[in-house]
Amino acid sequence: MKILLVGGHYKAHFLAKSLKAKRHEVVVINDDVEWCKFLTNAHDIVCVCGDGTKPFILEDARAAEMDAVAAITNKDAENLVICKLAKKLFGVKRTLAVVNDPKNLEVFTRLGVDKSISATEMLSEVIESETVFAGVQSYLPLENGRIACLDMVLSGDSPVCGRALRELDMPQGSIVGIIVRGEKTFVPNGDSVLRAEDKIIVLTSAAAADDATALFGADGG
Amino acid sequence: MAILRHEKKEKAIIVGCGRLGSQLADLLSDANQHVTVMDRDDTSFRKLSASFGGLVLEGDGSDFDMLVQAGAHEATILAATTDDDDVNIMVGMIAREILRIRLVVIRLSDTGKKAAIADSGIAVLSPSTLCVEAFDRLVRREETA
Repeated sequence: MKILLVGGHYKAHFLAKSLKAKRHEVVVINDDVEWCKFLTNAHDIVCVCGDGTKPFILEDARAAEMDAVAAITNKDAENLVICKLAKKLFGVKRTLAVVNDPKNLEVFTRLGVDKSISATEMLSEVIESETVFAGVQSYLPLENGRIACLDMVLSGDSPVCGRALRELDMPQGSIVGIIVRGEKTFVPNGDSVLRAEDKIIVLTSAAAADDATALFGADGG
Repeated sequence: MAILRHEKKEKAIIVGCGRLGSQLADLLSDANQHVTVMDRDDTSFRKLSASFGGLVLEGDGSDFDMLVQAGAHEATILAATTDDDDVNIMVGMIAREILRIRLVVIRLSDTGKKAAIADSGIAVLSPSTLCVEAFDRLVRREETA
């Protein structure tokens, strides 16, 4: 993918590094000349120096050729303008924006930004998931927290070990999506029998998340 | 006649009480409209004339909750006249596309950014374009004289 990163200091640096490592082509727009020089040298990428909310700067960075544009400045209004210009003027398919005020998550979605991310919101979700679901290895909220993806390892004394999935009283709105057993990964059916040390990925509605974790004995240890 | 006009009162919100915003607010207030002026800096309200009869609200107009607090959900006119084009675009888009305000006008210094709000029904006032048009009219008048 060709990805354009607009603004951001360390965010641009770390994103460029991680995206390059995943073999994406990265172009950066930054208004700090010295930081542009540093980014170009550090990551061997094209860096356009200027204000990314200006159409001609986006054009210099060949915005029209991008698969995705990520607006990561620290001003919400700038990020909105960058995404709208990318979409309307350059026909970019996927636009992402960082929002500093979590309230703007909904505002940006309604104004046509494809995906917005709030660091504050994510941090609070992490803190919440750490405290609410002890024992769950990771908790990934989706669709603004309405759905969650849980990652659990079954301990030997979990009541579900040795039982087939169809025998379990799964809460309404949750399903075991994948079982990871040693090197093997498979999508289970009703006959699949759970074993100790199995890692299971459960998709669940937020409402059923507590019941799902309780069922697999994740918080009982 | 005055009573008729009185009944036709519209609610207007001006975001940004600079030179342009304060004059717009005075204009609407003199025309007997309900006006609320917002600005992040309350010292800006000193620019309003002594006869200004509307409300002032200190706060960031690009903050959705502040706009609602200013009564934007029942406004029929909103003008975004801060000195920041990006903020004006954001306020304009919220006003037009989320709050569905009938007449939304924003000031843009950089006309290139107009593309961000293409087809949205937001009216753009660009000082440099207006100056050029006025200049053009003056030149033509001289030529025909």
